[in-house]
Amino acid sequence: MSTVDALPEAPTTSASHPGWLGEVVHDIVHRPVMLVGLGVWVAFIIMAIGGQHLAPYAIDAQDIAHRLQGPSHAHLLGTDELGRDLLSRLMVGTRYALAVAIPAVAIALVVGVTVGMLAGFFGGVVDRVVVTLLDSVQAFPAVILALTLLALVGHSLRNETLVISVAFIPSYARVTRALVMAAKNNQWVDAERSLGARPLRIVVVHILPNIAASLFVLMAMDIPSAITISAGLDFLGLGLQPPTPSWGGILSSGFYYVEQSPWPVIWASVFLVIATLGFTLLAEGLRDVIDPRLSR
Amino acid sequence: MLKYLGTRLVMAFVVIVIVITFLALLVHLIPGNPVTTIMGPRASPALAQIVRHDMNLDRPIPVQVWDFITGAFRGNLGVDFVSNLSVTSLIANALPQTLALAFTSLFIAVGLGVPVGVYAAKHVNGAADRLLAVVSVSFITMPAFVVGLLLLLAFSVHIHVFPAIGTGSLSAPGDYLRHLVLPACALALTWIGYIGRLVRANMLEVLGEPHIRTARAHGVRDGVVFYRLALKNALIPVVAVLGVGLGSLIGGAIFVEVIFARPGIGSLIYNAILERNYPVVRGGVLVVAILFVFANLAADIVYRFLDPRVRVELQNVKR
Repeated sequence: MSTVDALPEAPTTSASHPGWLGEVVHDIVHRPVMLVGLGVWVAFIIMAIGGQHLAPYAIDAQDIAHRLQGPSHAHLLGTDELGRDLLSRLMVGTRYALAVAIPAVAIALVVGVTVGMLAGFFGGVVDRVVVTLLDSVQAFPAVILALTLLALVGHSLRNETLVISVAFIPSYARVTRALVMAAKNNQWVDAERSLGARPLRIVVVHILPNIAASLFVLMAMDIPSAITISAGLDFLGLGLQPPTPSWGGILSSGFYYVEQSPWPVIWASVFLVIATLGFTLLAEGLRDVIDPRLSR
Repeated sequence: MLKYLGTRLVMAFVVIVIVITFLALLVHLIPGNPVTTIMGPRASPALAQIVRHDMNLDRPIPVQVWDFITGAFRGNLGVDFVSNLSVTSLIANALPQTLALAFTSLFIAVGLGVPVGVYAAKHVNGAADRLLAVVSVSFITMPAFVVGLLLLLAFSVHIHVFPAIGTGSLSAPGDYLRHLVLPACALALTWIGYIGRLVRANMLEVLGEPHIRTARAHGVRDGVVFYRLALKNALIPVVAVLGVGLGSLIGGAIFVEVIFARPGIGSLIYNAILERNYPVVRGGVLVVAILFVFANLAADIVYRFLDPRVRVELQNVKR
C-alpha cells in the first residue's frame, strides 16, 4: 500500500473532459491486455451470479468413493477430500470472493472519500488529525489488522467485509485529500466561492465529479487486493467457514490433504490467480487511460 | 533536513502511542463483555475470572490503558495465558526468525528485480520487455500463500528438493539456508515483479532527462551513461519502496510461516489467535506495527537524504 499524499498539482485530470468514457471504450477495444481483463471480469461475474446453475454438480454432492481424484470425464477438475466436484465448488466460490471484495472496497470508498474531502477541504487542525489517524491505521500491515479485528468480532460474511474495508480506507482518504487540495486551488473554485456557494456545495457538486474517475480507477485496482486478503483470511481459517466453498477455504483443506492429492490446491490457485491477474490488468489499463498519475 | 527529521520522529512517536492505545482499548471497542470477546462465549467462569484479573480488566479502563502504555514502553507486554511466559520473551524468540525470512526475501527481490528492470529498460518495447511486463504483473498479483503452497507442492511434495517444514538449526548453516529457500522465494515473488517494474520505469524516466542527453552529446559511452549515470539515479526510489516492502513482508510472513511451519512472529500471532491468547496477539501485533512504522520512516529518511530534489521540494512546499 503506497502513500500518495504528494500528487503533483497537475491541472485536473484528462478525466474531466467530456469524452473520457468514449476514450475508455476505444482503448479497451484496441488494447488486447485490457480486453483480456474485461473478459475475465465478465466470466467471473457470470459465475458469481449463475454459478450454481452452470456448475455440473451441487456444491455439497458427495461421491466419497471418488475422493481426492485428479481431473476426469466425470469431474473435470477432480474432487476434494469429501468427493465433492472441485469445478462446481470453485465456480460457486466466485460469488463469495466478489461478495466480500466489492462491498469491502465500496465501503472503504464511501468512508475514505468522506474523510479525505473533509481533511482536504478544511485543512488545518482537521487535516492534521485525519492524517495522523490514517497513519495510525496504516501502521498495521493490512492482513494483520484484518486478522486481529476478525478474530475479535467473530467470523461472518459481513464481519469479514467490514474488517477488510478498514484496511482500504486510508488509501481512498489520502488520494481524495490530495485531489481535493489540488482542485481547491483552481480559479473556478474561487469563482464559486465569490458567487456565495457554501463549502459543502463546492465539494460535492464541483470537486467530487472532477475526481470521480480517479477514484473509480483506484476501486478497480483495489478489488483484486481485497479478493486476495479475503482468500488469505479464509485460508487461515479465520474467515468464511466450511462448508462454504470459498477459494481460500478450498486452498486450506487442499493444503491439509496435499500429500494425497495436489489438485484442490492447484485449481483453487488457478482460479484465484486468474481472477486477480485479470482484474488487475483491466484496472491498470483503465488507470493508464483515465489517470496515469495514480500509478504506483 | 534536521527539522524534517524531528517532525518525522515526533509523528512516528505519536502514531506509535495511538497504536498502543488502540490495542489497549481494542477489547473495549468491540461491543459486548471484554472477557467474552477474548475467551469466546464458552469460557468457564473460573477461567474468565483469571483472564479478567491477569489482563487488568477488573480495573477502570483509563488505568488499564495507562498501565499497558507504560508497560509497553518498559518492554513489558503482559503474560501469556497458556505458558505463563512473558509476551516479550516469546516475541524475542520469534522475531529473529521472521527478520531472517524478511531480509532474505528482500535480498532475493532486489537481486532479481533490479536486473530484470534494467534489462527491460535496455530493450524497451522489444519482445522481451513486453513479456517481462506481463510476467511482472503476474508476480505482483500472486498472493504469497498461493506461491508458498505451489512451491511446497512442487519442491517438497512432488520432488523432495527442499524441506517442507521448520527452520533447521543455525548450527548447521547449510541446512538453515535450505529451510529458508522456499519461504523466502514465496514472499519475494511479488516484490521481484514490483521492483522490476519500478526500476524499468525509473530508468526510462532518468534516460529521458536533459543531463543524460548532454552526457551523450559529449560523447560519453553508452555503457557509462546507462549503468553509471542512469542506474544510480533510478535506484533511489527503490529505497523508498524497500521500507514499505520490509513492513509488508513481515505482515505477509504470517502465511508463509503457517504454510512452512516456521516459528516466527507471524505464526506466533496466528497460533495465539487460534487459542484466543489475547495478550500474545496484542503484543505481537504491536511489535509488527512498530517495525512497520520504523521501516517506513527509515526508508523515507534515506530517500530524502539520497535525492536532493526532494529536499529542495520539501523546503518549498508547506505540507
